[in-house]
Amino acid sequence: MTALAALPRGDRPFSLDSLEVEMAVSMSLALAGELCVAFDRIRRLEDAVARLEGGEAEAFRAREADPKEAAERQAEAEAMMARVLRLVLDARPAKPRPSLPTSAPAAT
Amino acid sequence: MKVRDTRHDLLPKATPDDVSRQQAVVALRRVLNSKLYGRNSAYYDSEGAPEFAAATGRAPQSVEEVEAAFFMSPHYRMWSALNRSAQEMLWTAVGIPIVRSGEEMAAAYSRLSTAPGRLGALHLKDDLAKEATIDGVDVHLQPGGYTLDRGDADVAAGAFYETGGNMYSFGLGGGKGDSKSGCAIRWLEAKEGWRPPRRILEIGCSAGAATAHYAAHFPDAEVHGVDMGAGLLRYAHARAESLGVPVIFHQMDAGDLAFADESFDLIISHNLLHEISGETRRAMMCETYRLLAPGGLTLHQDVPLRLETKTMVEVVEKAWDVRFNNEPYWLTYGREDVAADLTAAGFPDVRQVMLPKLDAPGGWFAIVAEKPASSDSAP
Repeated sequence: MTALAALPRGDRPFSLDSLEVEMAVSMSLALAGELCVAFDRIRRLEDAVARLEGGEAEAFRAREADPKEAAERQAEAEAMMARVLRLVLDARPAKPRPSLPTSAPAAT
Repeated sequence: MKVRDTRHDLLPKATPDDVSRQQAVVALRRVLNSKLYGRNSAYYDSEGAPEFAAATGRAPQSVEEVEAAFFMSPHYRMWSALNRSAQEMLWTAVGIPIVRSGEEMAAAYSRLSTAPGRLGALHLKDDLAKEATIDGVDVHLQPGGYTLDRGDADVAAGAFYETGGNMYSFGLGGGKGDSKSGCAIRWLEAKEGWRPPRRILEIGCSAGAATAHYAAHFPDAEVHGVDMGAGLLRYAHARAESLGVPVIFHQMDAGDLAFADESFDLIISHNLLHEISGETRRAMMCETYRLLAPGGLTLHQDVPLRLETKTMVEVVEKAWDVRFNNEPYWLTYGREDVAADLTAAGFPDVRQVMLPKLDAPGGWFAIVAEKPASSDSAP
């Protein structure tokens, strides 16, 4: 990516009111693209496993987990959601960023 | 010969994850184009124009004010942000395998361009690209632009153009069987009095996909392609050699073509008119007349972007590409009478035609003219 990122030239016109929001939107879109890559890889793996088992991929995907497996997967999903919501769960008072002083510094 | 999605030795090696990433961008662009783009004018009516009126007490009066009103719509702003981001993602998705395959592509170019018994040739002219009006502009946001050239075996510009162009077309709903040269050939061969050409020139040949197609389709013709970018031409040359078709590529300016008078009997261009200035375009049409043999035919194809009858709102919708997709001559092409350039160059009967696409909805715009069998009518 570093070599690729060195090639483009020119400015990047923004559309939204906030530069920060537009950058976050772009990163979210890129993540959606990477999610598609991951889904595609999972799908290929599912198809490969189904072929190895001599069955249909649809049947492989539809296989129900036993209760122990289901509980483990639910716990893993909750742990991931907790990681995603870390900033909300670990709530702290917001500290303002540095800004221009409202009065001139005192003479020394 | 297939033009899009053709396998050859110059293509960067894409992993399954690269292909998935490219397919994701195609899917994203298809949703943006088919589901969201069509809503923009309604958002202008319901959000942008009322907001503009509330702020100024009147309706937008100019193209600039209509554009400002569009950006007062939050939905349009979001579409614009997503569309720009999708275009950058397109180049990232094709760029990752191109950068990774750089050495292999350079080696393939070196091998094919020096192979004994090669079918075509490549003539580069040092520093010509620096004179190009598009030098310094990443047209369509293509990384490094059409004139990207990092050394004697650099073919990245051509790889970006071919692979990125395919993804762009697929994202608009185009199929793998579509090709602009295929549309042109079908139209030409259906034309009354058509005779297969003996010498063909493609102006602005970029990565050489159409040029190779003409060479394959007309095996008895001598086919030449010209472009400004050395990286494009190296790629085009080695691509043609890999596919086994003879093409002679030259680095030349479209408005200053160093061939003898009446050298060709078919001169074509594909999607070039919107990439060059009005001045270069008019010079190119004069060169087209000079280079055509009496009885020869020219066909210049491009996107059906004719703005003469469009409203200001429609013009602004089309103008998005100027600011956000680095298309400096997009509106110049859309607004100017390109057929009149051929008339001014000396062609007595210029036709504007629509070429139906082969594997996609819609068609391409083209201007077509024949040079009289006697060249006495030259201006």
